[in-house]
Amino acid sequence: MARRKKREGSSTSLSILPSKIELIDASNGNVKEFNTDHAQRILALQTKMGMGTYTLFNAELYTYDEGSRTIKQNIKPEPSEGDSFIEPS
Amino acid sequence: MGLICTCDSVLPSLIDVTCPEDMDQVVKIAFQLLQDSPAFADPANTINLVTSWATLLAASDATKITLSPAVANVVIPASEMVGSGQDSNESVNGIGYNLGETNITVSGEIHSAQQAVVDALDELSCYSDATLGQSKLTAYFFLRRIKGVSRVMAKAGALAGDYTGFEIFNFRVSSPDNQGYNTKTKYMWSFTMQSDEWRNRELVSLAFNPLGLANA
Repeated sequence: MARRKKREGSSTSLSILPSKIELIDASNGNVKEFNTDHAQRILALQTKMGMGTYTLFNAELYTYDEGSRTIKQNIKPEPSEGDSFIEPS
Repeated sequence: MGLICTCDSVLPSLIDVTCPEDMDQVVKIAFQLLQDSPAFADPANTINLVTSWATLLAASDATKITLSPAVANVVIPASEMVGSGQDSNESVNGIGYNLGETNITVSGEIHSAQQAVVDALDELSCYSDATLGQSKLTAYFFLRRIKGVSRVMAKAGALAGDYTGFEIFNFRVSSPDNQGYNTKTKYMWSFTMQSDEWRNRELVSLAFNPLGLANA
């Protein structure tokens, strides 16, 4: 018996990040560009304050990880015909 | 006091108080190095938004802002006239001369602070040394939240929305004041400001509670 199993996307962090990252100021919708290390400190600080309103502009590409206080790049699996596959029973 | 050679032939129009404005209580102070250009400017870095402050609190360059602990018993005294020659032969008719205003010393207290907190504050002394005539240190004053509205007192720049801190000199923190049983250990702090530093002060309403701000 074989059953179909959906392959789940995964998120992997890479150490290579662009030198600059854009953040959205939710209070007015402005997008601001920061050096990446500055952006990480801003996100870490607003987590500490619990009152920040910055979010990552490219949220589909990047995620802020509160544990490591770093921005991580989202790597999604290449879409292919094998998006679903047969798992042998 | 304006040291001017001539006055206009027509008196200036004074302004009626239509909306009372009081500083009320200073509850926290933000420090920043003296900036070449306004630290806050519309619309990129508006002073009343928490994101603008978060940006500067997290900075690692000369724009960095750092916050004092909550402060109590802050007093901003009025300057006093510096005069000479009154009721003496040193001035015409013995009226005396108005030579200017005294500099002022702003003072306050920090309560129940750990030694590391005091040591960190003490490091500001280096940046506010008056020996060279110009301090490197500026300060913004956060005011008590009233009816749900917090305010910051800052120095307005040339353009609307431009703000910097007030230049301060000779920041210092005292040794601990401990009065014993059931008392708070207090540290007295003070700094000096030139009397005309207040000329461009503005009270700006904030869209957030500054007591929730934290140092990076």
